[in-house]
Amino acid sequence: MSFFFKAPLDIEIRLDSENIRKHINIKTTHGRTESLPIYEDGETVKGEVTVRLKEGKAVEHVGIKVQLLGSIESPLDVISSSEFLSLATELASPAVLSNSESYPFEFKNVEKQHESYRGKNVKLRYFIRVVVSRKNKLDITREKELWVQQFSSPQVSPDAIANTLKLSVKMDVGIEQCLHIEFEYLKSRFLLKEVIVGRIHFFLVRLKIKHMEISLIRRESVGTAPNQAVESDTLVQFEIMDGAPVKGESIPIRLFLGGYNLTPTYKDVNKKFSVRTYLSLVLIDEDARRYFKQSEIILYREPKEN
Amino acid sequence: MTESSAVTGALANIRQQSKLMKENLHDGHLLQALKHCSNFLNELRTSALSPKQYYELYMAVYDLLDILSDFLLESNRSKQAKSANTAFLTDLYELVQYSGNIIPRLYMMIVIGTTHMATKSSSTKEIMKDMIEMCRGVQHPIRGLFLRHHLSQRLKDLYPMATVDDFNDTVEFLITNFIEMNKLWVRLQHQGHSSERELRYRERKELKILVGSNLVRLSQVVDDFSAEGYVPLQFYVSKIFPAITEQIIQCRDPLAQLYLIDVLIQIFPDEFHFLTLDSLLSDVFLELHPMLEKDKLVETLVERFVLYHKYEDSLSSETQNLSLEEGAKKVQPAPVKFFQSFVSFYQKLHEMEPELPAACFIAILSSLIKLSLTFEPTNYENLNTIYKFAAVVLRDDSSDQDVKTTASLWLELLEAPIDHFSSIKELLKLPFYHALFSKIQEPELLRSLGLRISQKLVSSATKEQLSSTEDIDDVFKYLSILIAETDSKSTTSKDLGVQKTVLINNNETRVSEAFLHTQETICKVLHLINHSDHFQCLTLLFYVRKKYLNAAFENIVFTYPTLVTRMTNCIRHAGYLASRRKKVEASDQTDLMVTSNFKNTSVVIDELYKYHREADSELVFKLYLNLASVADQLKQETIAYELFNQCFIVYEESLLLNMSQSNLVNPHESMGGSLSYQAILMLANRLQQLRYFSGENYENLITKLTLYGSKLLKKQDQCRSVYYCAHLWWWVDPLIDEPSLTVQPREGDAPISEGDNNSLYKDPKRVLECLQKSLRIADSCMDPKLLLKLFVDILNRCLIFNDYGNSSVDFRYINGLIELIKSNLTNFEEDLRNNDDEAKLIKQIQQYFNRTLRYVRNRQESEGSLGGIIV
Repeated sequence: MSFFFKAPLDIEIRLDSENIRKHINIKTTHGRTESLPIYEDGETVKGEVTVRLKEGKAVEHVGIKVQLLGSIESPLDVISSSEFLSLATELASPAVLSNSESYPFEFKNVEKQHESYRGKNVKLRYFIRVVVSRKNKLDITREKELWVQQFSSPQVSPDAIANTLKLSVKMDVGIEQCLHIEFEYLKSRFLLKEVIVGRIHFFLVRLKIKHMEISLIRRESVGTAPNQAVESDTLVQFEIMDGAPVKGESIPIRLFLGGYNLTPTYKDVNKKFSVRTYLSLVLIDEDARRYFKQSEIILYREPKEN
Repeated sequence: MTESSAVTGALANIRQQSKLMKENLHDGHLLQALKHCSNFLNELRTSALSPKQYYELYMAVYDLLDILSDFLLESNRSKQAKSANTAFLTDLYELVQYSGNIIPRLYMMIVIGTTHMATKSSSTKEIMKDMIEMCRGVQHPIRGLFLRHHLSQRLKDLYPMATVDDFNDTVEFLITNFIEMNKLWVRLQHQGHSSERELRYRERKELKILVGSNLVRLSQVVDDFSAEGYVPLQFYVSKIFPAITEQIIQCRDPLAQLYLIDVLIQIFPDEFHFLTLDSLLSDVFLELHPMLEKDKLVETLVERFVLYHKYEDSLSSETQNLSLEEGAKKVQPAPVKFFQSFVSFYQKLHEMEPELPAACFIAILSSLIKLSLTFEPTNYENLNTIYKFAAVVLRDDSSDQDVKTTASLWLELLEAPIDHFSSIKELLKLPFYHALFSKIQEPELLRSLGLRISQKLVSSATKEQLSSTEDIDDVFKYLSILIAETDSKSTTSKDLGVQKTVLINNNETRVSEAFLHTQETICKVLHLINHSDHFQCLTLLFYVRKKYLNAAFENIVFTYPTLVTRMTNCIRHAGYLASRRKKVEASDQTDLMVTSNFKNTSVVIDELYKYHREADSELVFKLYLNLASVADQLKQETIAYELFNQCFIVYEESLLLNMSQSNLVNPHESMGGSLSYQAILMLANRLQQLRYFSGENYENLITKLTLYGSKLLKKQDQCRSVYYCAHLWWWVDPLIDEPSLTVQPREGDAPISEGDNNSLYKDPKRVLECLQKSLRIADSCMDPKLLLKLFVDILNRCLIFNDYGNSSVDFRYINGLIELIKSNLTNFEEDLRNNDDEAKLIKQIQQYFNRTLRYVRNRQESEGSLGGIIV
């Protein structure tokens, strides 16, 4: 379409000091990688919009505005797409553009409530949209996506974090007369670059265990029950034990998270979706039966160093 | 897929991946290289291989990891040259932990971790602790064992040892690794199907060295470390020993316990064991698996100590050679305590597990004997204690089925000290030694032990004497089985001559050489009985005969001759001493004692005669003869007379008709003849030497003998006996200094001899009578050739007496005899022309006669003696 109705304008959105800003590489569904600039909550989004004329023809417009939008989109019908953030600034009043023109813009200290997210069934995007409105003609728009990361856990106050940090997770599980284990993680909240450290104690082993692994599972749920779409995705599979232990054995767990592409825990983002990560302990016996126990871990982005 | 092809496949993959790894390393693509490394390490995840094949893979991989390690070390060095604190290796250490499979992950962690440690970074110990902690993740026995082995192999030269802290950490590391490996090793036994238990056991045996190497390393570390206030010995006692032994006890696995105790004993220095001996024995050994053969452990321990003792001995003697002051400083551990430790261990063991097979107890005891002999060579009390225990075990075991198999062990137990001592008298005295001995049932064992003891006694260099009844008891109670045994039972092997045998009893009985050898040994032991006082010695000899030797009458024929000879000898010595003493002081009771000893000895001979009359009367006869001669020499006329009479009795009863040898003898041979003829000659010989008899008694005896001689069965025997007996009437040598009693003038009798020398008994008439008698007998011979031979014999005899100066045998008589012979010879002249055997014989006789005549001629010409004889 765009080929036939070629816009007479080229809109370029440039962010300030974009070259030195941190970028994130995101894989798109088509397998390409996109490089997006990273913004934080409360950070000013500032830049310049340049509108260039193609073929030297003057273009008449009824106004140019720039928007900063945050939206949640989903191809499923369990939720409707919605915009939770919408800021707009008029860049130019209606006029005829005969030359290329640059307009600086600035959204000051924008509160970005949520983090950017691309999941299977849901996307949370922030983007800048420049709209050149024309009379009786299609608006010419240009979008540029931002990637928003929050560097402190939004849900919990720092004090609470400190408290929960000390709490270890201990769980006693078993199958009657067959297995009795206790596993223990030193904590349940992890920074994305942290290490999961824990132990598993075997109290009773009657199964012929072949090996044991832990896996990290990302569960994305969209909508609210009963209309909920849940998608699970195993991100990491990590063998932590080879062979069958005996009673009294304790096996160390150590999993570096930094190397994996993990998402912080999002709970009820805008009442629309959640992304949680589960740590799953799986025992595989010699007949390839799997016994597992999942427990949620909370991942959060590390506070930015000053 | 078969196992071997699994190995080949895995090895091929390893080769391929390692090639890629090397290429990548060469090009500096470290991450790619690590990926290939991880790929080939994946081969180690297999469960399809036996330990041996797994080891093949392991070795292949190990070398490749070496390459990686070298590369990392090198690149770390070059990176550090650029900037001082690069975290290159730390980062890598983290990086490899993303590896999803645990086996490759840990192998790589270990390679990088140890490489890191080799760069002497500050975090060495953390890495070390981290690695061993993470190794827990591998719980599969074989994979885990090799992984941990890999860990300790890589760490070999890298253990932190700089401070006491470091050292403690290192030791803890090693102990932990040892404990974990041992657990894995023990667990291997229970893997898989129960029908494969044997296979598992074999596999575990192949793997044991992996576990043991930890202890070896530990011992080296303990030895290498040095710091102020650090005493390896104490450290071992307080730290290492408790930790290791606790694990050994807890694993409850016989194979592991056996092997690890063995390793423990072997690799740590003896001084360590000395200190921990008590707890090792009573706290550890007793707690081990009941199936375990504790005797083997004790044996190892004792071997170790014995070796140590030997080594120390040679060392101290060497150092003493070098410098005397240095050598004296060596402190020997208190052996008493040792032995006590072992003893109390044994007692506890016996209390706790009395149903253990006797073989086990015996083996322990024999180790104890070895120990005691090595450390306290003269402590008989220890040995006694040991035998006491042994006796207890034997009693408990007497109903057991496998007595037969353990029996030889008992024997070993008893034999063990025999070789050790130069004198075993002390040993034999131990009450429990004999107690144990007497409880053994199998005659075979007793026999062989008895033989051992007696051989030892006989061959010992000191030649100890048995000089009291206690001594004799101590020895002979072990020999009684030898004395009593008989060899009469016939076995096929003996009859068929497979077993070497000897014929005795006139070829009637076969006895084995071994049996004869045994009896000979007993006789040798008899010779050890001795005492400075000969009467005491005699008492001992009688004692041994009464108490032991007459146990089996079949056998006294082998031992009594020795005994009687010894007695005879003793009596002779005692008598001589007594008579010499008598010259100085008044007579005492010795006379009486000599007399009674003669009587007793004669009783002994009589006993022999009683039981062995059939075959061995000649022997008895000779013994009597010997004793009689001695009696005469000691001036015991009555006894001597009595004994000669005994000789005559034996002769009459048993020898007279004994023709056993006569068949073989050529009648022309004057030296041969029947046994009875020989007996006569023997008697004559003895009688001829008598000097202390009264004339009457002497004449009685010789007359009787001559009479016996003339009544022999064969003419030639009669003839020769009589002319030999002629000598009894004509002494030529006084033999003794004092005048002989025999020639003392008897009451109412004229002096017998009228010659110048009246100290010699001479009766020329009787001599002539004898010669005439023998001539008469010869004349009655039916065989003319034999007759001729005898004539010449008699001629010779006449010449002798003529030469002695016997007036009755004068030249006239001799000339007549010569004539007689000559005329007889002419009768044979025709036969001489024939050239047959008969002619030869005659020729011989003729030559004999001619030689005799020639001799007479020579004497006449040179000395003028033998006058008047016409030749």
